[in-house]
Amino acid sequence: MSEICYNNCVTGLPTFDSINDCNVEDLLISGEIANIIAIKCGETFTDILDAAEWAAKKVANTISIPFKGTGSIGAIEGSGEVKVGCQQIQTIHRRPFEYTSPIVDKDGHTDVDLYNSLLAQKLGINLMFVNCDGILIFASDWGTGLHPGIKPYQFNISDLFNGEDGAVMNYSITGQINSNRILKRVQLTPAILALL
Amino acid sequence: MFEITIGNLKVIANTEKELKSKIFLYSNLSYNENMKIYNDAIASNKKDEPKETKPKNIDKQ
Repeated sequence: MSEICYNNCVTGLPTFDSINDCNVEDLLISGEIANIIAIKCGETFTDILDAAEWAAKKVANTISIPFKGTGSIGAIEGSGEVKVGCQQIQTIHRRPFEYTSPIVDKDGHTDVDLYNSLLAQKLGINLMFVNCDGILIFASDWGTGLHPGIKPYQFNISDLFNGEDGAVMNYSITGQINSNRILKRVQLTPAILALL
Repeated sequence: MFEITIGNLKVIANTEKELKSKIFLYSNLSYNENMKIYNDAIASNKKDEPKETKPKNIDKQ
């Protein structure tokens, strides 16, 4: 039985440049999420490495950065299968994410309203993430003048209490992001990281 | 030094590595299209470089 070959789908396979892999440790980056960033949908960045743009958006409340914590982004999960050319194609791609922060406003307890306000605006919020190396993880199709946020398919915030001895309260932000591509990354400057 | 424009953004890079990284960051084109921008910028930069001139041999006897 011969196979159907869509060779016209291959427009030029990428060349993986040689990199100096003598020091493997030097080529690794953190897979842990240290910050989650909510950005108003449609908000654009001309230069995502311009601290002044970040500061202006923070002042204008078009980005919101919950307290530091820890989290992860899961692998792409596909569904909605159709068969094309004897190959099963998944038409819907989502990635689960989870983020937990133990930090609260212990004096004023204003964090309750902060999270409730964020949750109330969830339909207009897209997301970005920062890993523990200070690398921003954002929409793969971003380019100058475009919106860098990733659309969440689900967005939930919970306050977590448990009965464990010595346990602390946590805020958990969980959900799924729509993404069928590898997410874009860039190392943020110290000036931008100081704003987060 | 390299200077190119991506969209409305003027991008300045000091090295070829930095140029490539910035093109891939600020452009939302495909890998092959980004590589073409990169290769064109390198070629253009080489063309603009002042040609090496041989020093005049003033002590010619």
